[in-house]
Amino acid sequence: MAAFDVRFFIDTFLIALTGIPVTLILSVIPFLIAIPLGIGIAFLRLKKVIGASQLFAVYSSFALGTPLIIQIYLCYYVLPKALAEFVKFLGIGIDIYAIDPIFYALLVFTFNTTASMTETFRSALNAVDQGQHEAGLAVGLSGFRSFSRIVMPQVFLIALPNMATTAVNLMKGTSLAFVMAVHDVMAKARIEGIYSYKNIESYLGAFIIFFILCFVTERLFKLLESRLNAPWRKGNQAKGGEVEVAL
Amino acid sequence: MRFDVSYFMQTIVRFLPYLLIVIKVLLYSVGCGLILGSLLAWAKLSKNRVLRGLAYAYTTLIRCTPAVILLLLLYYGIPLLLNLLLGVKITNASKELFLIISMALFCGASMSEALRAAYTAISSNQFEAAISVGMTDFQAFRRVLLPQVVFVVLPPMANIIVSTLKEGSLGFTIGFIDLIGRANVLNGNTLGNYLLEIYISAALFYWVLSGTIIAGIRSLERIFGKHKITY
Repeated sequence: MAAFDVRFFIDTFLIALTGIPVTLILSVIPFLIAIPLGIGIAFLRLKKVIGASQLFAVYSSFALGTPLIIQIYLCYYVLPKALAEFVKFLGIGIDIYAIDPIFYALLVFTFNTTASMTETFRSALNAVDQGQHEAGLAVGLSGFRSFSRIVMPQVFLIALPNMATTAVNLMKGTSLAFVMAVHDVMAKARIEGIYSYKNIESYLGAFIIFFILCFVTERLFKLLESRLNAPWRKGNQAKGGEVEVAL
Repeated sequence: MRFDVSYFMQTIVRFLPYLLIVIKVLLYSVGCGLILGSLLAWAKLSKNRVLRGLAYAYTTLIRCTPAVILLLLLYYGIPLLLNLLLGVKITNASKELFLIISMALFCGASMSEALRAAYTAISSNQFEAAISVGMTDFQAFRRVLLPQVVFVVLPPMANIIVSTLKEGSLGFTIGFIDLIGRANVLNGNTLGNYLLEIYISAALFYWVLSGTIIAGIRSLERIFGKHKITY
């Protein structure tokens, strides 16, 4: 086994750096989509809407109880086949296999992240006292106003630490996108490593990039948290509960 | 696209022995992770600044590293390091061992956070009260603090074990044949014709397993919470 090749390490590191935009796309877009979806689903489940509540409980438990890699396989291999048959059935001339794999990657990461976001907002919505909403109504706000102006800001504050965890987990999860032939940081490093048999050098580069990305994300959330919490620094600070996996 | 029910049943039977491998890896990883996590939690609570700093740095490092990358780095890196430093040549090390090591490293980091949080949640009065009735430090820890820590730490523990289970599915990236590895092989052998059946049955195994873990911990919570006095 050869020793560590510094030259090669620097070269692959630079190549892997060009994968950062894709990694960021894969992390930011699902995260932003998952927030409203998560709030909506959490609301449906808390209100115990018959049918939807049970359906989304099963969804959450599947998305959080099975490995991401299986969800990726199911989405990336099965969905195109199903779509192709559907298109054939409809008789439209769209080539499903021409769709960029990044579309499937975005889909599966959104699917997965929405589930953890739902759990985050479910516990945060639970943590805000019902009296807050009622107080809003009592001073003459409409139901929607009271909810959006009084309850939601508190919910966001409580949910923030768990949202940070979700964001970092999502970013780490995108390192599996190489399975879907999406050329993110990990995929670029991996390709270099496989062709040259210099695995350590290439994965070390990917490791450094991912560490920095995740670390910065975490710090940004911490910063946001302390900014938003500043007015309540003394005394009763809102505290978020642990996200519980509901099964 | 069709779903072949009889083939689906066949794959479930075929996967059963591999479920044992998954459980074995999980048990070893969680066991080692618990030991590592306790040591780290102890370091985080200690008065030694260097120790504390190292434990926190380790947790941050692990929290910001994707599981696949750590696994691959260890798998390729440890033999190289051993070769460079000690001159030992490892040619056919057990892939299972590398998987367990990397999962335990992950598990230990999150376990230490859960344990530390649980320990700080229990007021120091408890310890002082135990000392004042004549218990030794160890007795106070074992009889008074530990039972309470266990109760507080159980809910996050369920999450940690489930995520260790999920991350353990990445063993296929180093060529370890567990449930996912077997599913991939089977999928290759059947040229992708039974893709849906194979991966749905694999998902089902993991789903049931994580459901069992959560339900198990819930019932443990009930057992440990039985004697809890509520004021």
